[in-house]
Amino acid sequence: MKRVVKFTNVSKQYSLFKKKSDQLLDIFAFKKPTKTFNAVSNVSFEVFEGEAVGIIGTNGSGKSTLSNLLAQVIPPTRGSVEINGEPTLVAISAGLNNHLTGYENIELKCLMHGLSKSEIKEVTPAIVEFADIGEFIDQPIKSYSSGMKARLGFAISVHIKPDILIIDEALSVGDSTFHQKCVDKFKEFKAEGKTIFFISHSLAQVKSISDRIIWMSHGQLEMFDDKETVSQAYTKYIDWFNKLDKNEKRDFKQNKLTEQMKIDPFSPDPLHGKTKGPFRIRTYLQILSMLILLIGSGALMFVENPGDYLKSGIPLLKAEEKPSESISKGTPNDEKTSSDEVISERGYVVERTASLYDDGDLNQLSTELPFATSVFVKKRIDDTYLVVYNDNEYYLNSKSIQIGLNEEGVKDLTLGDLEPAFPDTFASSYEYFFAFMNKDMDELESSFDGFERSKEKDELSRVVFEFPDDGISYAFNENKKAETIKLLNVNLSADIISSLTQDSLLLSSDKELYYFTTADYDIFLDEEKKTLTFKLNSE
Amino acid sequence: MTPVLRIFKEQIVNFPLIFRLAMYDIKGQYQMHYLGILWQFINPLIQISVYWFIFGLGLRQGSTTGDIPFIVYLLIGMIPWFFISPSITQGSNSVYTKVNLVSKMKFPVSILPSITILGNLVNFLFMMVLLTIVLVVYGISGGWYLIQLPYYIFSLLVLIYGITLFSSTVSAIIRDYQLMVQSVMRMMFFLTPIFWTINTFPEKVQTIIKLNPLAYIIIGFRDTFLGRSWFFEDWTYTLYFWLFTFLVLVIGAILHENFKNKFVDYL
Repeated sequence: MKRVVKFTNVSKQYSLFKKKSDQLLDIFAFKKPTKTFNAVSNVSFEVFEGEAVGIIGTNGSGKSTLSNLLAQVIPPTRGSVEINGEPTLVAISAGLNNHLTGYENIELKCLMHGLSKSEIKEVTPAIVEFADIGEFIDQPIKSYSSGMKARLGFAISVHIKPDILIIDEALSVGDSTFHQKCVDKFKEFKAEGKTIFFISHSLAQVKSISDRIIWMSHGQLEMFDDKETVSQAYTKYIDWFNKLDKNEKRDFKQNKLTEQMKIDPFSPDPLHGKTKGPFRIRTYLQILSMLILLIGSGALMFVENPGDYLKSGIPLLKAEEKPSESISKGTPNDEKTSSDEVISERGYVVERTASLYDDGDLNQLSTELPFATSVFVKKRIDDTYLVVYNDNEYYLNSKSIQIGLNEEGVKDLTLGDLEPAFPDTFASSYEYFFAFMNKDMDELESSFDGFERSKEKDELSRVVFEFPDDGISYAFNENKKAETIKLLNVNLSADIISSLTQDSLLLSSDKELYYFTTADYDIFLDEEKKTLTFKLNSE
Repeated sequence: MTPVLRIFKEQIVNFPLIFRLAMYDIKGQYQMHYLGILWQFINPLIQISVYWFIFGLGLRQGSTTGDIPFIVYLLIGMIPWFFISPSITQGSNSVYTKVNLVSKMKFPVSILPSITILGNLVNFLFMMVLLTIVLVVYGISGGWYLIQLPYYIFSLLVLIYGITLFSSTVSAIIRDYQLMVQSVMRMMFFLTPIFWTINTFPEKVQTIIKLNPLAYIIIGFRDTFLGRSWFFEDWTYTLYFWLFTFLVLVIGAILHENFKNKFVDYL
C-alpha cells in the first residue's frame, strides 16, 4: 500500500505573549519567547491510502491542531510532515461568502480549489443534489440555517475530489439522515483509494466511519491502533475521568496543562523553522545595496544634466574642472588644442580688423574684416579656424574669432537710452540724422548742401561723408546707400556707457571695442576713439 | 531576486483564478444595493464633481491650468488616484480578511492582493473610457504620446502590486500597519500632484515632490494625455521609479515568502 501521510516527531508549539509587542519582537527574533505551549508534541504515525482514520480526544487535546497540520494550513515547529496528495480540510462553513448565493458559492469555492470552468459545470449538479437545500440554492448564504451551510460546505469539499479529506467536526451540525449520506460517501471515497481523516469528540461517530483511531490526549498521541482497541481504552479513560471528584479533575487537568506549558529557553523560535531565520545576512545585503542604488538615483534627480554628470566620472574629483569648462564654451582661447575639431557655429571677429587668409598656414592674405563681423566657423585646425564668409572659405587665426555671442549681452536697447552719451549738438537732433539711414548718396548731398563736409574713402574702401561741425560721418555701401552713421566725441562718462560696457554682446580682445544691438541697429562702441557707430540691421 | 520571480510566476499561472475571483468580489460587494454595480461609478463621479466645484470653480475661479481646462487636468490626475487609493488600502488588508477562507485549502496567498487590484482595475478602465470622452469633447489629444499609456498602466500595476504585497504581509502580522496605510494614503492625496500642478514650485521642491513614486504615475498620465513628453525623456526619474518599485517588490516578496505559511498563527 502506498503511504500517504507520515508524521515524524511532529510538534507544534505556540508562544505565549504577555503583551502584543512581545510578539513583534519575536517576529524579528530579537528576543526568545519565555513561555511556550505545546499544542501537539512529538507525534509520529503513518497512514496509507484507502484508510479512514478517526482522531478522538477531549477538548484541548490537540485534535484541531493536528488536523491543521494534516491539511498543511500551519507548519510544524519541529519534526517533519510528509503528505502525498492534495489535502482538503472541511470545517464548518469555511470559505463561504455570505453575500453570494449557494450557486455562486459553489463556483467560487471550486474556483479557489483550482477547478476549471468546465469541471465546475460538471460537478455543480452533484453538489446541489448532495447538499439537498432545495430552492435555497439561489438565495444568499446568510439566509441559510447552520445545518444548510454545513451541508453545502461539506458537499462542495467532497466533490472537488481531494486525495486526502480531513473533516473537522463538520458533521456535528448535520442531522442523522445527512450523516448517513456522508458515511455512504466516505465508503465511496475509500473504495477509490482515498484517505479520510475524521476528527470528532464523539466516539460513536468516529467508530462508525474509521478503520483506525488516533487518540490524542493533551497534545500527545496516546494510542493509535485498531478502532476496537482504541475505543475500549478511550471509554475506559473517560469513565475513569468522570468518576474523579471535582478537585481531582481540576488537579489532573492542571498538571497536564503545566506539562504542556514549559519554560524552555533553548527551544527554537516556534514561528520560524529551526534553521531558517527569515532574515539572513545575504538578504540584508541585497536589500541594502538596492537601497543605496535607489538613494543614488534619487540624488541624481537633483542634478541638472545627469548625463554629463555621469560622463564626467566621479563628480567629486572633477568638481574643480567643471566651472572652467562651462566658461570655455564662450571663449575659444581657453579651449584645449586638438587638431580638426568640427564646430559648425557662428563666430564673431573680436579684433579691430581680422585678417582672412586663403591657406591654412596663414601666408596669403585675402582680405580684412572689421570688429564684430559674423562668419560661419566650420572647424578648428590647431590654432586656426576654417570659416565661411560671403560663400568663400578662408582661414584665420583662432584668436581673432569668438564662437557665439555673450548670452547676457544687451539686445533690447533703444536709441533713446543712449542719448546721455551723445555730444550735446547731436543729442538735440539725433532723430534727424538717423532719418537719413539707408538713403541715397545723392539725396544726402542735396540735403546737406552748404554744410561743411568732406568726401573720402575709409579703410574698407567705402565712401564716407564727414561733417566735422556736428561730429558725425555717414558711410555708404556699394549701392550708394547710407549704411552706417558714426558719432565722434562720445561722452564716455555717461552712466549708460559704463553699464553697457559690462553687458556687451561682444568685447574685442584689446577691450576697447564693444558690440550691442537694438531692434533696428547694430551698435559698435570704440572706447579708444570715443566713437559710436550705428549700422542698420541686415535682417 | 528569485522570490520576486516566483511570485510573478504564481500570478501568471493563476491568472484565470485571479480574474474569476475578482469578478466575484465585485459582484458580491454590491449585491445588497439596488443600483448594484453602478455604485462603482457613482462614487467617483460624485467625488470628482465635489473637487471640481471646490478647487475648480471656487479656488481657481474657473480659470485654466495653462491652456488645459482645470476639469480635464483634474480628471487625468483623479482617475488614476481612484484606482490607486482603494487598491492600496484594500490590497493591504486582503491577506488579513481572506486568509481564514484561504488557509483551509492549498491556495496561493500571494494572489490575494492581485484579486483586489484587478477588481479595482475594471472600474479604472471604465473611468478611462469616461476620460477619453471628456478629452474628445474638449478636443484635447495627446497625439503619438498616447502609445505610452500601456507603459504607465503597467508601471502603475507593478508599483501597486509591490506595495500591496509588502503591506498585506505586514498588516496581517501587525494590525496597526493597516491604520497607518489608511492615514498615509489620505495624506498622499494631498502630497501627490492631483489637483495642483507641480510647475508652480521651485525646481528643488519639484524634485522633492517627485520622490513620491505615485507622482511619477500621475505626472506620466498627464504627459501622456496632454502629449507633453515621453517617459524616457526624464530618464533619471524613470530609473528612480523602477528602482523604488523593484526594492518594494523584493522586500515584499521576501517577507511574503517567509510568512505565507504562518499567517494563521498570527490571527
